[in-house]
Amino acid sequence: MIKVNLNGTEVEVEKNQTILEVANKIGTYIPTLCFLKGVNETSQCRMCLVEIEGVRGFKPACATICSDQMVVNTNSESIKNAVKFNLELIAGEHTFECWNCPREEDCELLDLLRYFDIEHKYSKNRNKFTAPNSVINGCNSIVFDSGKCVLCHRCISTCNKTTKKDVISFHNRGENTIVKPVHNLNISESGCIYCGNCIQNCPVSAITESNSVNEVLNLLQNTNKKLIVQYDSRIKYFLTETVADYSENLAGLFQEVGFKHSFDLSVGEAVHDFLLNDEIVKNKTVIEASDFSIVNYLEIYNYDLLKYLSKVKSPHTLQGIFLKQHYCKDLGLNAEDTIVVSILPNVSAKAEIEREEYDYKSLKDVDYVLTFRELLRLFRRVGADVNIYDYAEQEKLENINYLKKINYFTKNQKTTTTLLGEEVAVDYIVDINTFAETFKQIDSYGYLNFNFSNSFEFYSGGQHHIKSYDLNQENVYWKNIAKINDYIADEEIEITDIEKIYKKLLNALPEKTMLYTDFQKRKILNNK
Amino acid sequence: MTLNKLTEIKNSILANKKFKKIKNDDREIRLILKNVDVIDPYSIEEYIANDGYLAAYKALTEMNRESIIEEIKKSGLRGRSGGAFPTGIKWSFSLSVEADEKYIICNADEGIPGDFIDRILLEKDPHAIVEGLIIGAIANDANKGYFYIRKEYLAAHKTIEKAIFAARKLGFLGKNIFDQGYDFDIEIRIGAGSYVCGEETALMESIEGKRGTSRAKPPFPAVRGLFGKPTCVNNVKTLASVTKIILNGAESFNKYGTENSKGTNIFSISGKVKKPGFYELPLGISIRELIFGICQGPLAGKTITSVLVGGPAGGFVSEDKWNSPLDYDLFHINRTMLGAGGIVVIDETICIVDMCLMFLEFGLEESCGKCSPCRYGTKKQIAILKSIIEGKGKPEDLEELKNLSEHILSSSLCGLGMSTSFPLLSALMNYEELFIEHLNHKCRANVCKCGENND
Repeated sequence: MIKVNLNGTEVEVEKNQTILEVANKIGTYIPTLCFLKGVNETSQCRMCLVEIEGVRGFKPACATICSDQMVVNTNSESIKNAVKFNLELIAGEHTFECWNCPREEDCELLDLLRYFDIEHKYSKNRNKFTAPNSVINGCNSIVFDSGKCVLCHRCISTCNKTTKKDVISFHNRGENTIVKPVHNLNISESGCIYCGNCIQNCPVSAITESNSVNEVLNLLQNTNKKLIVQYDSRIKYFLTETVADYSENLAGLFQEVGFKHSFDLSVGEAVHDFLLNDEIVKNKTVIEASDFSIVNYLEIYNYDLLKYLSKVKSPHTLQGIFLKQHYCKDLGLNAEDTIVVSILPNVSAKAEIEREEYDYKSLKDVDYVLTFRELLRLFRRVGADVNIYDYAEQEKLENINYLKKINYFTKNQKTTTTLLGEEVAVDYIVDINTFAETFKQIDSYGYLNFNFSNSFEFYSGGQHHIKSYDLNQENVYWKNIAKINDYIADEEIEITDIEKIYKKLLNALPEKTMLYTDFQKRKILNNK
Repeated sequence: MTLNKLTEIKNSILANKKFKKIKNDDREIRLILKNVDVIDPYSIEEYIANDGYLAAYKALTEMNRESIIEEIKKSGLRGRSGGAFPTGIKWSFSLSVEADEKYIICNADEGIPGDFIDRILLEKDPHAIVEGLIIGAIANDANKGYFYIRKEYLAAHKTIEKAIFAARKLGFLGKNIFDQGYDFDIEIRIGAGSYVCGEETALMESIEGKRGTSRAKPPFPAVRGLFGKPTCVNNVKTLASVTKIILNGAESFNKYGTENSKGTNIFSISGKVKKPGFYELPLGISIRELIFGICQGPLAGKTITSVLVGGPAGGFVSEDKWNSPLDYDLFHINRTMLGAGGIVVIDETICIVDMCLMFLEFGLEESCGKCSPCRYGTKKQIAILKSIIEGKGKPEDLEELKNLSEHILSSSLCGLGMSTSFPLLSALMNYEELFIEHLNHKCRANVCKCGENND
């Protein structure tokens, strides 16, 4: 134990603790922008500067390790001025488009500017300064906007930590520094797997999902088209976290915006589980790509494993097929005039639906994918009644880790999974950094589920057979299945054997081949 | 390789060839530059004939790590690249850290405009630096050394490569050097043309194959440096001095210089003087003596108005301070740094305000873009200074410039960001009247077009 004097208070700290950690522990606020614990600790935003007695210049709190009898001052006038000066400079180079920013008010830069009451001294219209601004929109998943970028290095560290493929990097130097896919390549050529973790960690909105809100809005206002929305049920967590007056009336909200029908993904998940079960019984070892970025990863970097990859399409596209081919007919709608919009937490789905095999007789399985926050934009654009929480004040008081605030993007932290309604325990949790090696040993595992949280989860449970279930049991999952049954059966049937439902579901779909995709080794320019 | 063999080579060369001493000026002390223009840089034998590799042999056989460092400490040698950190203390830091592998790096990424000493040493006396690196490695317990050479120094690359090759052939490098059971080898790395890679942490990033951006300090390189191991980074001139200190003893070095700045330094003088060039002189010589005595004063019919010491990391020195000695301490007080010893002489045909702009643009161009004060702040400084030069300046701009400079100085990540403001700050301190003249649409040197808009 060593002693540190922080703003006049003696604090006992453990060895190798940074000043920021100590300050967080005792509740002293030190502003940060580029810092992301465990991911990006490069101390380049110069926001967390502190004064240390006997040391020349200011030192960053996020990277400075405490030493014994250190005297630290975090709130002197000169420190405040330095931070303000820095923020003025950053603000002078930032493109403020807060009204159409995907981050809404949930912006770390905006919070800091508000907290320090920054004067927009170096704005372009007040002075003769111009920032180089380029928007790179090379694929249908991820967009880079250098005008909004504060060059915090978080995305680059995140890319390195997540995939070890270093797809994003700094280019040029000095004032022309810009974040881009490596070697000035197009995003689709750079080897990006669209995992979206860089978007999640960006403190502003310099890297965003490509915007589909406008197109969906245009279609909503076009009366010829009927829009059906299907959503990942995790949207509810997101809305309870971000919308102040969310009252669980999601269907009502969708109707207010102009969607004709709304569904969760239970139909698609049911069909998916059924087909996957077939594969597991047949092949024993199957990789299920719960996020399309896993497919991208295997296609680009680990193609030996493609033979294990489940060929079943993802739940939302399966349900899209179902909706277009069967449900539309039942309602007397024309499939060509029907647009299916998926609300999903992952950006990779945006690239997924553009693939060739997701086109059946020039009818796309799913027409648009909106992320959760895009949906929020859509609600706000049309004036639907949603009020967003302002976290800014609360944040300052509680010093919540920023990761907490933005984790809705991949909120998948479960330790068990449900396969055909049955709980399956996790066998292995594998650290993200070693997952490539683990893939190599895949034969020893039965069944692998690939989740993009901070770890990957492995399950072994090769022999799952469909059993009969007692539907009197309180089980939401099976109730949903029963509900779907209403769509596929004209007459009401008593459900005693769940296998029958699946058979019916599958029979309702035109061709079995369209439920599968084919994955092939893909070459990119940046093949390491 | 034994001492006998060394003397054997020495005698066989001396039997056929006589080396004569060369000096650019009588007042010069050729301690470090002793071999420059005297020996053939491609011939290791000629270097050995001039007591070459004797110091490394001595360090390995007669001395131990502590006594080498003690000798360097006694000599009072300070880093010759600008930071002026005592070399002995730096070495004792990295020696005291325990690790399975340690590195030593020779920083030959000389990029300061107006400096050309490293180049001369690299091209004309490469073995002295290789030997210095060997001594440094022995003192630091490093088994691997790197030469980080500037991309533009093609000739230096060639001489060093040949020197390393020749030294390896004679058993001075590689496994079991000098047959004394110590392993040390050197690898050459060529920079990619970035000024900031002369900063030690950026240099290490560059050697690791990454983008050349500086790291936060602490941890210092002596604790966690190249590839995460304790690393010692020394300048070319420092290592050349180390060779001579170990060879001739600390007294031969510290009898020159002032109390806190011992030894000789090689000054490179360029600009508006009659006899520019490089001169090895004891530290503490006054600027006036250097310029009017050794460099023989201004060009015909002109007067010297100012002297820039230390390049873009240094500052302008006004006439009232020309009698002050050129050493490390006094210049810290004057807000200029002696830097690597590059001195640019300015006469009335040069506009200092314009020169400040040039240095700021240099700083922005060479900024790595990592931290915001350097990247954005310098840009704002340039915009303001440009408006002054174009005659559109406002009186409050000078205050703004000062504030910006102070801010960048205090909160930048590395030495590059901190030092780019030095020329501007010193100019604002010493020549504020020039800036005010520019605000009033007048440029003494008739360089800036600040009057055009109002005429």
